[in-house]
Amino acid sequence: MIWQFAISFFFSERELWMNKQLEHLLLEVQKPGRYTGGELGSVVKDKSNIDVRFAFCFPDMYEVGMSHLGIKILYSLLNSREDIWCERVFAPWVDMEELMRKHNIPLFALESQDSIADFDIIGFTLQYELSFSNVLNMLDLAGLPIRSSDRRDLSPLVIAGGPCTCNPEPLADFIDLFVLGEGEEVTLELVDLYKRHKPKGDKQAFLLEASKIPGVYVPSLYEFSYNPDRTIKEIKPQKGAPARIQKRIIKDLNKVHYPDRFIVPYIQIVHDRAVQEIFRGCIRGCRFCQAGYIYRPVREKSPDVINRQAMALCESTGYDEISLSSLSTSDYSRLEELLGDMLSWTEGQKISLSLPSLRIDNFSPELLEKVQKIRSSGLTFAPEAGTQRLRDVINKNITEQEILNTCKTAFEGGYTSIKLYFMLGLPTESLEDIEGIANLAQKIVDLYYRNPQRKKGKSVNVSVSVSTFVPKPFTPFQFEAQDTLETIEEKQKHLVKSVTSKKITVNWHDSQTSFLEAVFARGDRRLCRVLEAAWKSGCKFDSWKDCFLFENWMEAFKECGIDPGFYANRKREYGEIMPWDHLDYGISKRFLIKENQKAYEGLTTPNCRIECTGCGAAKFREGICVESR
Amino acid sequence: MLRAVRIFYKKLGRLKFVSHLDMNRTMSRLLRLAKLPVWYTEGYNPHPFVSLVLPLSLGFESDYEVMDFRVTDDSISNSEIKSALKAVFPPDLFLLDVEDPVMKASDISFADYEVVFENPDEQLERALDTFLSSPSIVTAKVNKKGERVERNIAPLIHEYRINKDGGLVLFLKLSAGSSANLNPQEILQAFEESTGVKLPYYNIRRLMLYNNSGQKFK
Ligand code: SF4
Repeated sequence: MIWQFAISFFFSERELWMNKQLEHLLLEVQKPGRYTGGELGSVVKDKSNIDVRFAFCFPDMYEVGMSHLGIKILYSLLNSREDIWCERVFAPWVDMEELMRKHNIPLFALESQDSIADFDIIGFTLQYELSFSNVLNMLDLAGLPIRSSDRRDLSPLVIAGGPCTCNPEPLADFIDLFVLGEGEEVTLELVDLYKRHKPKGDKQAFLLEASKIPGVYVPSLYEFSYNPDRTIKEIKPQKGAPARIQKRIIKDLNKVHYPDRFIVPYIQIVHDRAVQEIFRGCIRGCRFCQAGYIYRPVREKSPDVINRQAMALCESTGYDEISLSSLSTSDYSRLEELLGDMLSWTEGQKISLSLPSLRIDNFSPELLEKVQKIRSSGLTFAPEAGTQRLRDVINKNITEQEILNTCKTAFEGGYTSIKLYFMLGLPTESLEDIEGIANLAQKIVDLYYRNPQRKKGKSVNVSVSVSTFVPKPFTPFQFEAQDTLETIEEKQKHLVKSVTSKKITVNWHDSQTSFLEAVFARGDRRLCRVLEAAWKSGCKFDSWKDCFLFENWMEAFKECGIDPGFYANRKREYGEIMPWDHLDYGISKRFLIKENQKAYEGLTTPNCRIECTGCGAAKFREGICVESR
Repeated sequence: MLRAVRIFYKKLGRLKFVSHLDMNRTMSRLLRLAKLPVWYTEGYNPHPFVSLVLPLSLGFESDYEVMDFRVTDDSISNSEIKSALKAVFPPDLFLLDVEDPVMKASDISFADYEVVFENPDEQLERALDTFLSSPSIVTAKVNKKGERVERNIAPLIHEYRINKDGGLVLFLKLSAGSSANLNPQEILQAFEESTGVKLPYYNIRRLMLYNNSGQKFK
């Protein structure tokens, strides 16, 4: 069954290879399995029956991109249509890129091994800012001009979606149009419009029409002007483009397309398992967290739909692990019921169920036991800040007592390692808050040694992972300044000094990459030139330590006469026009200002399930905003 | 009752880029997909037990791969297993047979390989012949301690033939298995090093496995 597509097009053994030249190169690269395609569940169609060829591009390497749920959903959705063939494209790793450039092999799609320059639509998913340079590099590898204005024809049309499109301005010169919000419906609407325009091939006419589809943002139809102090003066729509573009959401998650099969890779990928989505959005409203706002409102799938979809996936893939996907598993309203249902079949089939970001404090003992049997790795928490005061500021509703209670249960259950995630540089942070991180870790160590049943001779490890706070659009902290690199460094030193136990290990996330992330997260289209200059000087795979060239980036800013600190380290007025103010994610600016003020007063905001605090997302009239509390 | 099952298959095309370790995982998944009553390993993370009898290097195709596993229900016949596996195997993994194991994996002593050179030049045939007929072919490797160890691989080459129809094809019968094993790539590398000739692109395919009395591995 899985091979129904593949089998019909491959007859003889020798036809299993399509591109001889590629085959030769693959013996010279690391992990050639990244580039071969042909995995279980990949879709091969007959080109001659296809109207629209769609290249779904993930601007990072195979192992990362293949682990991403969004690509699996859209791949399956697009391929469910007979007139569309959607294929996958990942960024070739540096060794492969070098060979491709040397032998003039353009960037190709995995299924057909055809050059993507000949496709109808090239769609990028933008998951993190540090993949932007790879977008440019992939366009160039495909042999296409990187600038939208230099690509005169309708095809290939270059589009992009994903969370970073909530401020896509740093890519405005390169991408023809952006899709805001959830892509299931709007992508098909775009394909249909494209089909109608394909015979004429007039790109401008197409873009003008496309800008009328809700959720579609055509950056070239907006003109930005600036004040003498470099802030934005006005964002002006042209040629009748809408003044505000509202993101798309799926109304009923029980009815939306969900893949009944995944591509099962041959080589090991980051998350090599079946993934079942359980809800979208988040009720919490942690003030630093962009995902907590841009996916609102919370909409759940029902337990029976989840169960049915999960079973089908395991059945078709042969995976022996399935993971539930959402922003916070514990907030699923019928979790206990769902887990009971799922465990009733997963156990018998030796399928392990993994539940990321789970809070186990309010589980029944039987369920806890089952869940613990499943979870093999250590326990993780994200208190994000070291003191209750600062946790209130960021609206992270987790108390020290909750953390300690859960650790106690975990230690009694035999756990010996706990992982804690924190951020440095949060608004209002003081040295005391930093010491609080060390204190909390110490309390957990002490708690371990107070457990009389602990295994003799076994020691505890508390690992503290620290990243740098990055202010993001559509969060109450979108107005905030990021700490400078010097300040962060001092704070890191202070934390190291505060930790006295050998049972506590402290790890950093590189703050230079967080700085660049902050610049691009809230950047405007003046950064396009910087991005281009940095890419030209060799920047790519910026989220990979071995590839990140900080000096080149700084050089690119200088060359373009742009101060990165203007974007990252400057506090913004409430009244300032943000580069994303014309994009409507449902969250009102008024709400964000109110939340920002509450943060400074140390006041928390209840979650959506307790009370609606009027963020603005109720205008979608869906999910938690309209359900009875 | 547990019953041992041995399957024979070809590994072709793109699958040559799937490593030994990745093949293990893939096979284990295919067994799950086929819904066979396979025996699982015990322990914390149980998975279907599979054993590929002789690792195949990354980049090689094979006409004769052998894998063992066990079924927990001995009423299921080999032909039932065969049709269940056929239904889930991808086209570049071609199932030949399902049998009861006859020999032990450790019995493997020889393997046949075929090396097909693409666009060879005129001199290559002679050069290969001269090289392979030499009584001593010494290769060097750096071991784990960082020392250089030399070995004469000529005694591990039991037969070779060079065939010229349809390009240049080198046939090799080499020692294989746990006691003495020679990878054809080692020969070709030694050839390039000692003659200074850069070989054209070639494809290696394993053809057959034998026990030490020269019988087909069953
Ligand atoms: S409108 Fe109210 S219930 Fe809906 S997401 Fe916003 S705060 Fe939550």
